[in-house]
Amino acid sequence: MKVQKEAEKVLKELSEALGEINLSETYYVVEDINITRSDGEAKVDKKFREIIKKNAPKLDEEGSFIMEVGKWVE
Amino acid sequence: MDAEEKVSRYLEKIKKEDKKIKAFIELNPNVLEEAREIDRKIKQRKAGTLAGLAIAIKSNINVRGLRATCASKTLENYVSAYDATVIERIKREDGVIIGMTNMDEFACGSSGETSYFGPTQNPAAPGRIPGGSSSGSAAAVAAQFCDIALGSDTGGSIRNPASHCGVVGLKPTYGLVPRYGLIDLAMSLDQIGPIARDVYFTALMLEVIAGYNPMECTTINVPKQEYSKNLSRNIAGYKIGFAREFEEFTDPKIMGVIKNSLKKLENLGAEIVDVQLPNLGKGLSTYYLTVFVEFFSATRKFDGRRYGYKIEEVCGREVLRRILLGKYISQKEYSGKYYKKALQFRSLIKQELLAALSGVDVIAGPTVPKLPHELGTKIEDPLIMYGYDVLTVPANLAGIPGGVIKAGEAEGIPVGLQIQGKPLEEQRILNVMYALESNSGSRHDEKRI
Amino acid sequence: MRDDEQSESERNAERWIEMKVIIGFEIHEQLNTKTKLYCDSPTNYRDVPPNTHVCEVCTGMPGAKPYPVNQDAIDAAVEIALMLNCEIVKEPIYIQRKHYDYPDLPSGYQRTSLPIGRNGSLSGIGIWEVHLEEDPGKYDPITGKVDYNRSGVPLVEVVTAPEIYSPEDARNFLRELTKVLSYTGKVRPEGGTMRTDTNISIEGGARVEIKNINSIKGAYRALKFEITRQKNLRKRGVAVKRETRAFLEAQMITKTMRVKEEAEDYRYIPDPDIPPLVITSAKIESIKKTMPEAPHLKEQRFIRQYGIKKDDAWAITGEIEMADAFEEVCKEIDPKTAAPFFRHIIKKKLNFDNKTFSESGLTAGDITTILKSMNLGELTASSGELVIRGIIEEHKPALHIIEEKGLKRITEKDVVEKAVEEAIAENQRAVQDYLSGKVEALNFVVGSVMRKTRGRADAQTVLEMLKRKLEK
Repeated sequence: MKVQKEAEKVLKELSEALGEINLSETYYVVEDINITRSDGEAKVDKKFREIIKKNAPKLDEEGSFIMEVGKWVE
Repeated sequence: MDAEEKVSRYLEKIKKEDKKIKAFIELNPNVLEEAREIDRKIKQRKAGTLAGLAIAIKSNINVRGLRATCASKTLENYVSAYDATVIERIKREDGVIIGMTNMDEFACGSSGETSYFGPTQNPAAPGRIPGGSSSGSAAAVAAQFCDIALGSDTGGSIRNPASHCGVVGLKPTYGLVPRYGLIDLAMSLDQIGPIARDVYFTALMLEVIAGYNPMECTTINVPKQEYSKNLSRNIAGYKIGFAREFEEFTDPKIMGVIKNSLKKLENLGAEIVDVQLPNLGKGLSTYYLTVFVEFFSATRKFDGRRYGYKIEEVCGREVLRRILLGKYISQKEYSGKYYKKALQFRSLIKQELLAALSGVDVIAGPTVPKLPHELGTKIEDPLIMYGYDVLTVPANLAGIPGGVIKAGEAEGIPVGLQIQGKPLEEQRILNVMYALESNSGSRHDEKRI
Repeated sequence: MRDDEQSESERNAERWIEMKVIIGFEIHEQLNTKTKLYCDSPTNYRDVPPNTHVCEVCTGMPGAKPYPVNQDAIDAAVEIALMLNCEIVKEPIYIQRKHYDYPDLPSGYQRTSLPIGRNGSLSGIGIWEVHLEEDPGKYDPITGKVDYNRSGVPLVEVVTAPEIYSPEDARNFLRELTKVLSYTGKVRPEGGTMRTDTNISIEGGARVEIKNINSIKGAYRALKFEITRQKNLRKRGVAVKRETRAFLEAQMITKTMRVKEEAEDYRYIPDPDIPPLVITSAKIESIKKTMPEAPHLKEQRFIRQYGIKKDDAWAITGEIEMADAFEEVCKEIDPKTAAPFFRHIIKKKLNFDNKTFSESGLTAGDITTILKSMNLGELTASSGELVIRGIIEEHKPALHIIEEKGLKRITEKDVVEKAVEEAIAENQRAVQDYLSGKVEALNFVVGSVMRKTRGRADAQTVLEMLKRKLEK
């Protein structure tokens, strides 16, 4: 596959350009901890379901998505 | 001119010219009705700060009821189920959403050519790419199809097309503008920001969309700023940093324009100071290795089961390449070799940039190292395309703000000056741009239709 | 019932011992928060139509981001970890994205925290870790139906060391764990929300993972089946494959889901949308202050403090509500009287009805009333049991039931005395027979008194009263 080949070259060049370093990793630019919210009253947007319907490839009449059948059950 | 009339004029202009430019993917079918509603509010003096302004939205931002396609077949028919936080804020201030703009597919590109809906033209340099990935947003502003546009910037996607299209763009500090509702390219780098024809509108839009969102984990809780009110042309005494390393990567024709505008800044009372960015070039690898992993993760939801199509089955080459690379390097056995290493270099680049900024107010330099290529030019090597981002990715890696304003032209093509600042110091960037803009004549007054 | 199982366990143990079965669990239980872990959709997904209690976050719509983590879910996980004697992790706890492709997973990854607690133990079995996860949606592999109402409900996952050596021990462990979890009051009380992934290997064979086990009974049956299956393979000289199997509850068998060539690579990354959690010492201390005593500790304390038998203490501490009621009752009643009543009368009825104490409607006040009356001789033991049944079945307070059913023993002396005198007068022949030496003739007179008092008098008292009267 052509994309695969190009990808390999990209990876090689990108990683070679870096070299070695010994620093801690930056996972988050904003160094914050414990961003939490209190459990409170639940909310439901009734119209949301309509948009699910609009976008879903397949829904049954009850509103369940219909997806593939499990490979391990015949 | 009331909002309805203005929007109608924009629509007419779009109808006439956008077939060629391809700035929009979809227009808001209710835009006139919404404009009329706002006109009523204006008459009652109840309208918000964006009253009646026509806003174009990049197609990776959710606007309820409109399609957020990311310019991909994957989401070709996906209708947004909700408003992004920035859209809620724009609507609250009575901005009118005029339509969804074209872009590089899933924001993976710096040219505006990878859109499933076809490439966007550069209105400021016909026949050339507009830059990307917020290609349609910058083009819509340049072609005067709207008042302000929203873009997103992961490694330069606002600044790059703003530079090529000769408009103003600003990538805010990471966490200043809520990302809720922005379809991810790389979560730790993405920011939404304004693109406008002048600094005033840029500042106005920024003050509307910026600010803490308690329902999001990565926004910063800082007091609201009135960027537009606080605009000042007085930059006397500003220390503006310039790194020699910029020149190593940049086309001399572009450097010429940049140096000219630095002189203008000096004439306005600023002091140009040398700063060192020895690892500038390492930003690219750091950036792309990070993006591959985060983008792979972000695209797992596009499995075609709930909406749209399975991404790998329908996407373009660049998107597929990034997914495959992300899948490959995020394997457990390689994480130390690529992803972790990139995150370590990210620390280095962040430290280096913040250190360089510590002695100055802002750093100014070029935005894109090359002039926009001609549409249709085949660039087979992805690394050449990635190279377009070398000057813009450091700001994302460090989470700092960066603005772009037209510095002049090279071969009749706009060249943007990039101004980077310390975290949350958007005002200084805006002020420098404001001073430069006034110096070259305020477009805010001249060009409004 | 428990005694039977233990002896069964002992019997089976001999069979298993030679094969060295090694079992470890990953147990998932839903936490009973009102809102989901990363959004404000409701967690009561059971009685609503499919895909109604959902939003853009828990259905993985493009652009949705997790809300800040539900603090109550974090606190619950910390509490559960503490209850399982875990050390709470002090370093930053990242929320990881665990990537895999499955219809029930709306984002293509599951958000799962690094361990919150480590190195715990329960019933002598090591607890490797306790962490927090989000529940996926519900997928029916047979019809392909998917409902995301459940998606995003917070789960606590408990990972045990592979230190369980028989299906019986596995069952006992799961029962004990369920007890601890329900003690906290932080898991969903409906029951049936527990799901386990079970790792099982027979010495020298590959490890097999069994998914889709949804009950303790299911775990027991799946293990029984799997051991037999693996044993038979080995007998025939066939190697057991390393694989993931699904338990099909209806057929009580396990079936291959996927064969693992090597460990599945989930490509974990810290979720860039969620900064890490740090559990502070202050937080741990405040949770410790309010968390309940662990059931096994409570059992030991009951034996010590109330001087009751181990079996009674075990039965009473089976449910925290029952244990609390017991302690309340013991303020007025001798624990040695109360304990057998709880175990033999109350627990028996609850087991028979398959109810929990909290569902039963029994209160410490009612139980105290009954036991007091029994102590005073106002209620017989069998009437006491009738009152318990009445409360559970008719949901009425003890006094109502006693009144309605006329269960109160007649103790007013004059009433009994009057009946005795009448009976003597009406049954002169029997009296004469008695006086002439036919001792058993008096039983007839006693019967007459009992009829007159409609059985509410105490037969022994009546007999003694008659004897006294006739001796005069």
